[in-house]
Amino acid sequence: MEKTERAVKITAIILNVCSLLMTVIIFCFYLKFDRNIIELKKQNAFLDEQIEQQNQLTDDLSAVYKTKLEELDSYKDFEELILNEKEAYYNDIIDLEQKILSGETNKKIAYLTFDDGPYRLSESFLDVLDEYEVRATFFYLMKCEATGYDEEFSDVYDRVYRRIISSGHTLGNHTASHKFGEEGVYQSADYFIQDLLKNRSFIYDRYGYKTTVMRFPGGSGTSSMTPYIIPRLKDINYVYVDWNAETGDGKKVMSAETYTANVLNNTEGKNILVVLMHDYSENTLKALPDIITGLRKQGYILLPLCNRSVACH
Amino acid sequence: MKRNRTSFVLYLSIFVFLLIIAIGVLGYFLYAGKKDEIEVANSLSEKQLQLVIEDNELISEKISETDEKIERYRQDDRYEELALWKRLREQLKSQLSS
Repeated sequence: MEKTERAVKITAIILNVCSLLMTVIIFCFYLKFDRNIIELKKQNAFLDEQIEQQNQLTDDLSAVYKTKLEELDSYKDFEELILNEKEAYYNDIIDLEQKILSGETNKKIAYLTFDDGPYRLSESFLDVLDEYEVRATFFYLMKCEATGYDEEFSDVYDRVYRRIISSGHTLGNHTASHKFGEEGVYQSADYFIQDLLKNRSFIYDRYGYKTTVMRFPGGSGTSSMTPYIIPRLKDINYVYVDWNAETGDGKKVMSAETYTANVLNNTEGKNILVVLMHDYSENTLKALPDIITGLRKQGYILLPLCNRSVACH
Repeated sequence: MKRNRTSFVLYLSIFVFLLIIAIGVLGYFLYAGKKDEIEVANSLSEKQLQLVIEDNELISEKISETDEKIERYRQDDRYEELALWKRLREQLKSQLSS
């Protein structure tokens, strides 16, 4: 009996020891498992963070891509964009003219115009205009192999035309031949128009530039024929422009100082100034920087002409 | 009386032993379930991360392609012309504000 009791006691002790051991083992496993779970949770949190970062990156990249696509789309129709921007620039000029005329602003505009070119000196004139960041207007004739004169400078002229157009200057039509006399451009209105259109086609065919501003050789008051020509200009989409200041280089060779003074001393009361010059004159070339700075000092903004300007008729 | 007490201790020891084993087994299953759950979640997260990274690489490639196209447009003469008119407008604006 005692033996049985003893066996039961021993069994109970063994069971208790085992229970204790099991408890310890389970606790150890618990600690290990807990560490594993914590590690996995950390991994999960890290992955979530990575996903969050990558999603943020996706948003950023998508925004950049969208902007790039918009930029790409904006380039697809260059012609329209250029036309719009050019039109907006001329609209700004016309707005400014209107404000000047209504007295809303004390700013003034000067349109520098160069007649009768191209000449071999024209590139030097363009250099000066570039240096002073001025856009001007060039009323050019048809000087090419076909007209049989100045053939030796055809390459230079070609460069001049291209530079005028690509730099944002205005290219105007000054007739093809610029001839005076009985067989000149003023012999009849029809002849004048034909001569004018000949030059327009020459410029358009070679450079893709459509001239819309013209100047009569000698000015609109030079011939009794001009009153017959003027009404017909509108039909061929032209406006004409004269001038209200000049260097005088077309009349007589004078010093650069005189040319400068001729312009700067004759600006009083002229809020919109159209200056006549010729880009063949070396003294005009010398005077040009002083004319530009002088006009700017007098408050003039130097701009290229457009066919909607009040200076045009 | 003494015998009854010994038997009670034995039964109690057996009960405790079994209880501890049951707790251990239950704990293990709970752990295994939790571990599986987190591992599945991690696996899904890894796949999702991979997909997002691939998406980003794809968008980056598209941006590069678009950049190349934009650069080709910028090298176009007409881009210069467009830039010129924009510059002239800016110049006029600054002259008017000065």
